[in-house]
Amino acid sequence: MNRLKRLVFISILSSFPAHGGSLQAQSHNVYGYVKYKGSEEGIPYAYCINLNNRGITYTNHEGFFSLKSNGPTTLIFGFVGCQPDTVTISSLKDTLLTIYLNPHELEEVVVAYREKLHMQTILGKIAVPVSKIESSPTFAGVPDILKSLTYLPGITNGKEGFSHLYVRGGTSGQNLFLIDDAPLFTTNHALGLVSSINTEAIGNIDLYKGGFPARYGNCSSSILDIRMREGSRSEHEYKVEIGTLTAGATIGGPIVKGKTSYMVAARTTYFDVINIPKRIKYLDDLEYQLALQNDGISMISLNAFDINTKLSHQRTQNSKQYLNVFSSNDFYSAYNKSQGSDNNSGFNHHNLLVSAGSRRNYSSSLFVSTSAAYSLYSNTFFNELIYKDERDEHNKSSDQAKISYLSVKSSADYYFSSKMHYKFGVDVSAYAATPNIAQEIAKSASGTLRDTTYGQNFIFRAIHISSYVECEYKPFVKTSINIGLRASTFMDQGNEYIKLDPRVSYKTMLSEKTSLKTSYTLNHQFTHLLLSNFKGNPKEVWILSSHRVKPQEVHQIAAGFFGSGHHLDYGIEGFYKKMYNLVEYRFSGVGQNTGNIYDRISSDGQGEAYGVEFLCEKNSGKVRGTLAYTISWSERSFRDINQGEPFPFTYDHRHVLTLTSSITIQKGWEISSSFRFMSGQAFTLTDGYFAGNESFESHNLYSTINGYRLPPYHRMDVMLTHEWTSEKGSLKHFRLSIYNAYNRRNASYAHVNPSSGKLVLTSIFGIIPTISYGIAF
Amino acid sequence: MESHFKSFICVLLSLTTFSCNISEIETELPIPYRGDFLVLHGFICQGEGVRLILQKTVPHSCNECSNKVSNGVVSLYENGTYLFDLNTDDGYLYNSPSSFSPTVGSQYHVKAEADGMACAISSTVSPMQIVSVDTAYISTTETPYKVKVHYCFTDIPFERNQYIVRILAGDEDEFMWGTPNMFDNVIGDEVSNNGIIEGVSIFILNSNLDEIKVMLYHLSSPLVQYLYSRQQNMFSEEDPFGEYPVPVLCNISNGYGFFGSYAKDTYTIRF
Repeated sequence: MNRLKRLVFISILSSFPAHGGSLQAQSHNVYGYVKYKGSEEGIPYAYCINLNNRGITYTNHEGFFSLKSNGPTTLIFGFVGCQPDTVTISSLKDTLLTIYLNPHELEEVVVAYREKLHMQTILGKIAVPVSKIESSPTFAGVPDILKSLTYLPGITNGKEGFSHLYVRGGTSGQNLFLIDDAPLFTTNHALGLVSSINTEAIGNIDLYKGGFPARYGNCSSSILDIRMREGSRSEHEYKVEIGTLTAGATIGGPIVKGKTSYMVAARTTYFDVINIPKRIKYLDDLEYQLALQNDGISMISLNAFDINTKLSHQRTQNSKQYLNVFSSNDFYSAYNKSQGSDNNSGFNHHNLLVSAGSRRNYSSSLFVSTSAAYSLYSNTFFNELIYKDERDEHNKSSDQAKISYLSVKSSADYYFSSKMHYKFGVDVSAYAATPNIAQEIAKSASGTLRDTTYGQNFIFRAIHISSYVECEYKPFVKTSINIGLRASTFMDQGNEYIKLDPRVSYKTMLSEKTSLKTSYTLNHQFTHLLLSNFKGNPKEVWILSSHRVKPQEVHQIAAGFFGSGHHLDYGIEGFYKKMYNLVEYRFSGVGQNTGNIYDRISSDGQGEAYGVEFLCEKNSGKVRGTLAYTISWSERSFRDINQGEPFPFTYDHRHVLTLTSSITIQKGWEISSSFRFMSGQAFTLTDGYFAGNESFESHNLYSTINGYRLPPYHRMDVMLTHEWTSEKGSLKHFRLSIYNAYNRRNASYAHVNPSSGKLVLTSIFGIIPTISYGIAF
Repeated sequence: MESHFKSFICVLLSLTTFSCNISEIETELPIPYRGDFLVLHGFICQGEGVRLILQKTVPHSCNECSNKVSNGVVSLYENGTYLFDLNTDDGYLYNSPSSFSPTVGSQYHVKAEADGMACAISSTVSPMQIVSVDTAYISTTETPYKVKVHYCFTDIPFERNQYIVRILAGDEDEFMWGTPNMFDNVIGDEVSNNGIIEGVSIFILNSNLDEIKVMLYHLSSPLVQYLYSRQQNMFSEEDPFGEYPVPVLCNISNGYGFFGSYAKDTYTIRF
């Protein structure tokens, strides 16, 4: 304790008593904020233990807490990585506290969940520590939240190299990614090699795989609720990181000391740097013409950029406002030039997300958040072909999809008593989706042959109004229930859906360190993602529910046993999920699509997923690690696909085993590793051939969708991290990361070789070592 | 410090350039063969009756294997009632008698049998109503060898109509039976203007021609889906990253292929 820095500042304000009568018999509220010293940023899920009744209260997202007490009381406040502190309240009136905890150096490293798994009521919720993401070995050495989450049971990334999330047999479009209350429609960035969420800008992450509380809607598989971090209100901070794939910088600090702060985090790839020598070479006209005459000129251009900006203002002790802006852009093109023709094809993705809000506690037991958000996602795939010979033609085609979202919402936390805590709110949102605008232009010297745009009239708009009430109730010391109801009305042009979503989670403590939990949730989702891969690039199209597409409906029931002891946290959980009204392309989303997209999809799909997950973690000490195992089944059925017969979901991995470890070799040196094993994913294999005739071309025949399995997938990643403080006081780090350390050539995809008539399994990613260097000052 | 930084850059570039192993490595495996199954491709069309090709599947690895069936018999049914066996001279092409005229509104299906093969049955289809080209004419472009062909037809009242318009020279060889092709542009009824659908196509004119044919196909929805699936099958099989290859739509049980319906009208422009 003597080696630990400790600073606590307590401000106590007394207000008028809440009720009349004898003070000794009255209950009073103790409320306030738990914050980090210096940044004034509230600490979510900091605990407060009331020694008088052994009750535990946690702070909310803003670090606000409220509890009732019947007399003088002693409270212990604490949080992972901070020294717990004890406060004695002798006042019998409502008391406002502001507790400042100072992050300090511990004898041992602790990377733990902010809320112990066996303690929280909601089954399937995990408060993911950001430090765990930063210490996980990742692709190209870039800390990535979506790739790191796969260490948890029940979660996979889908195809290798992509940043999708598949949770308990659900599709990637059934996940809800919230950044400060605004939904993010896509997470793929830089061809999917990284996700568009910059870890440097993240403050807190809550992941829900099940037991979804009523405050969340329009999702059916998982929720990733991300709160962006705020800049320090006391001093400026800077961080720069450069790696093999990306370079980034983060700056933050006070605008008005103690009141207003800013934070800006930006990243970019610099793949195009490799093209600079070629571009310089072809500035010379002679070189350019020679190259055109000989082999032609080929170049691939890739650029991915993202920026997060957050302003936060602490107007008063009880009131805070924020403005968050996020933008990401991806551009890829491949062009080939020769004397006879020029061909340029590629895509462009764009995300824009703006959210602003105010959070305030109006009394000792009422905390209200109000926010407005706007989110936009668009993608365009293009192809341009110019013939410079006697044809003299210029053909250009493009395919664009877009979705935008605007919402205003308000939610409240009401601490009714020490046993009962209410949340309620209302949300009004507007959607506009243009799933497919295809343009074809064909021109020649003789004039315009074709200039047509399809689908520009297919703009779908809808209004979504939802409200919820949620209650966390502790009828007994060992029992707690989270029960809620969400009501939604979704109105598109001429059609209306009214849905009720009940949500229940139940927990009972079997002992001080073990608990049993169960949950049931019903989720309706009104937006649907159609995902296809075109030449390796994911093409994501969002559509809205309408008279032709009903809202997705997912029932999930789960039960689990959790415990903590001997420095281990463990849990075993079983789940069953039934899905209705799933949406899928009837054929495929590739190629040039014209006309009404609703003609090309099946929206009557059903799905079923069930399995058992096991998790065991050691989060303290010099050696830390995680063991996660999942056995699960997942299948789908659509009337128009596979002749209506059920077929395995593509990412139905029967067994998934993940083993991660982090070892602190000595101060400033850490080595971490992760090993992953997955049963082979399902794929569709031809089992016959039609040789063709005068009218019909030859083609492969398929008797069943996803009837075969790729070989099992396994790989190991290793990362070495060295951190040190320079003489000038700046904190530096160096990371050596090796992806796929033993160079296992896992099959990325399978196709038929038409000349040999054999199945070809192709592997892309072998061993990939990368380094990165960062400095913070 | 500067030398350390330069060393770092050199290591970074070396690792990036020489150590990364991002390359395609392929492994070949034999493809299992499900066995011989009948493959039917055919159409029912007002004015043309029923025409169909009967073959069988072959293994991928066998280039010499024959796709001809032995003693194949194809029967036609109307509303579940047997009508007759289709005629064939070679056990490959099958036709209905020239006197047969399908009735719009009736449901037809075919059943195929051959030695040593499971019996294949198509789903039921109904002949499509003929939609006539109201008018068609040509106008010249800036070049003498290209003309614009203007056409106009009336969309019939129905739940959903889809069309193909094809321009052919008077003596040009059509695809066998002039059947719709997966590369034809399908026109949906959403473009109708108070029931009238108009369009223009560019046509390359041979100076020896004295007439052009405008062919209007009225397609059933399953046939449109079938054509689209053939196109998507081709695209998806070229794209190994696709979620899964798109199978060509099949409405034959215990077999493969497609039995569909369309109606055709031809308008001749003489000049």
